Amino acid sequence: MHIVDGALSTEVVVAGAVLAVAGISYGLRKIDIDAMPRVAMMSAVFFVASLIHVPVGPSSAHLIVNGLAGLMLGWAVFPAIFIGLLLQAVFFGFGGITVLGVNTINIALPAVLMWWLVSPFLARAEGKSVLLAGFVAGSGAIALSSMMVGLSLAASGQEFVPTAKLVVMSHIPLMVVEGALTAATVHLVKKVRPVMLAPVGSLRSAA
Amino acid sequence: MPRFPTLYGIVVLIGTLFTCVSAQAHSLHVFAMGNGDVIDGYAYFGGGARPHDAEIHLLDDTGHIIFAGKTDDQGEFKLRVSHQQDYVIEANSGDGHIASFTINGDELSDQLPSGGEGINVDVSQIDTTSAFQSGKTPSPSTTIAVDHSNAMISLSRDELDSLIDAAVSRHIRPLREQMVAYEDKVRFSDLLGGIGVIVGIFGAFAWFQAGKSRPRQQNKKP
Repeated sequence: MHIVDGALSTEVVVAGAVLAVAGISYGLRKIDIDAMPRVAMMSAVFFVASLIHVPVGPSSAHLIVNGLAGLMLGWAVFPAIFIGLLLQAVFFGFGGITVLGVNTINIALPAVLMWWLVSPFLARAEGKSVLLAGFVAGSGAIALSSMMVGLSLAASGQEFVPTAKLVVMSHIPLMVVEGALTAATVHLVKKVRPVMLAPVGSLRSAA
Repeated sequence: MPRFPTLYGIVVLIGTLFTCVSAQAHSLHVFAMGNGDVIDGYAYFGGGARPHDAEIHLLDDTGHIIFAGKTDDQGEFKLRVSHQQDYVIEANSGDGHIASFTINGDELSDQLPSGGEGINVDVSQIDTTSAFQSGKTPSPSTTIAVDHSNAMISLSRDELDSLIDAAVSRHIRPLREQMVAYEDKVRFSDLLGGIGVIVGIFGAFAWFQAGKSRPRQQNKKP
């Protein structure tokens, strides 16, 4: 999921950076003081989650948790993912500094999309349908992210169909795992603290 | 009541930390070593798995691609080079992961002509399955004359040199592999440092926002 320095053409890197800056600044405006701990926590969870491995055939994939982060943060997922990615690049050498923008877009945009699609349904859902909504958000975000990775590699000159196939295929088991994880987490959060799923920025007016 | 999500978050975070201390990054790495006139090595993912048929490129010290090929099923490759110089080997698994590794010219046999600007380097890939032993012998031309009558072995100086080179590089190899693997490992201190930075960034941000909103709250209260 983390594209490294040197894999992408300059145009893609620049376009990714511009889009990411737009997303991050929009996300930052959505964060109020009440949402701050939530954003920080999801950023930390994203930072750490990439070290948890899911064996995929001969290789392995790591958790991304962007679906979960999207449901919890909405647009504020952009700064959260960006900071997580930045630190992963600096501390572990995942991804890289020049491709930060592209990676942020690839991971955060599907999260926002899933939030936009699923959270209205999740707000009304109860019981089993909460699990279903969580699963759809978790696995859908991974599916979209891996397609976007394929797309960014294709835009840099690789052939789209084989590349996308390779990336998406290797993430199918991860989709299942992330879906289950997101479903379980959302179910629990909805039961014990539903306000955490309320859109960022609405807490003050709700309180 | 408001304390609860923070507590929950901390519990989740700590739980996650403990499950993943031994886990490793999903990132591509490549290891290679020069031995005689052969560069052999392998590409591997952070978890230890090997990519099948990953693309490999051999670059000379000026960054020009002088050879392009693929690894075998085990992620291994073996290249014969014609000149002694620094090389960079680059592996690309095709899904956005690229890794590179520098091979110091000193690792290759001194008997090779030294390469440089404008010299064409011949590179050929050796089939890693059929020619298994070819890399182990120091160079194909080395022959050892054994005099059976008094169990004396006569070697030329060059032959002795390349034999010693081969033996030393064979013994050093596991050590180098271990060192590279150690460098790639994600350390617990890195993890804690990263989380500390995240807390710091958002803490500073919260402080800034709290400073902005305080006058408004004071106005509201009376």
